[in-house]
Amino acid sequence: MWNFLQKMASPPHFYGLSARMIPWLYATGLAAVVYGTVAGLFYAPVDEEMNDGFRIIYVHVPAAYISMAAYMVMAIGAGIGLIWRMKLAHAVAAAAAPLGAWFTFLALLTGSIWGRPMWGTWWEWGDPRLTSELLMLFLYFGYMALRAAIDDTVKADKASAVLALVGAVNVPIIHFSVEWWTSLHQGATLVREGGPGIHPDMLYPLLAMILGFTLLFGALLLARVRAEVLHRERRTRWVRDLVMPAGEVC
Amino acid sequence: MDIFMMGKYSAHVWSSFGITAIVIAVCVLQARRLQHNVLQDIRTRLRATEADQ
Repeated sequence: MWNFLQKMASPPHFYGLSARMIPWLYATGLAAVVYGTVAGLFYAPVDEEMNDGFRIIYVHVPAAYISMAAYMVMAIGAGIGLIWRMKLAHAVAAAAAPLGAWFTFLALLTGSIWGRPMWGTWWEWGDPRLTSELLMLFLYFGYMALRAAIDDTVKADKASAVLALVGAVNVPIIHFSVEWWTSLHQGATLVREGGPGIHPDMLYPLLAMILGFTLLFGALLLARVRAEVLHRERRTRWVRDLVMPAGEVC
Repeated sequence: MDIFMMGKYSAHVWSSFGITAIVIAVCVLQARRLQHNVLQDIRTRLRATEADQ
């Protein structure tokens, strides 16, 4: 097991393996998203309370889920990098941050668009779910700004890892905020006692969208980690051979 | 065509899906451009180094 992990953490091995994985992740992710979109928009029954407005769930929930999952990837990567000094783990953390920020922005925006007709407001500052999700967007921005402010990669890795780990406490707060405090936001739909609270015809497209977003996030993450690895390893022999194969005239 | 109307929530539903498509497309393009820029940067550095030698 340890040998397998060590092999996976080897930058040249990761670079080659990820190149083979990315097209498959894009293709399967896109297929799941297309199915989820068509089934969710045109075949799922209308909700009794929210009518067709509930269909925003098919982009809002996967985006919100990925926004938190990306933070966990970033925090775990930062933690592994900090404890075991694994460069690839720091690269994963650095690559997850901009993606997490984009999906958090998407979750906030689609949530706001959904909230306007349902709650009568675009935004409510006192709402714990909304404000804790916004806080996560600022944590992503802070993480990226901190990395950008430090030229030395090793120092940037360490400083940003501490921030990522401290900020991880916000993830369970986002998840449980609707249970712990009074919120405009509805409670958990999928992960709750007694199973999912929606009809299977509404549920399956949602699960497909969550799967599709996860696969697309995986592809995007690997693509960004590849670039990060190349940049970090730019002075090594394998990158030199990769970029300038033997015989190429400069 | 009624299925495209989404009742009175047409603007909300379609704008949400449209924004999602744009954000995912931007993420894909950013990842591709990042890879391209890093490769270009390394090539430029290597050429400059070999030209100096």
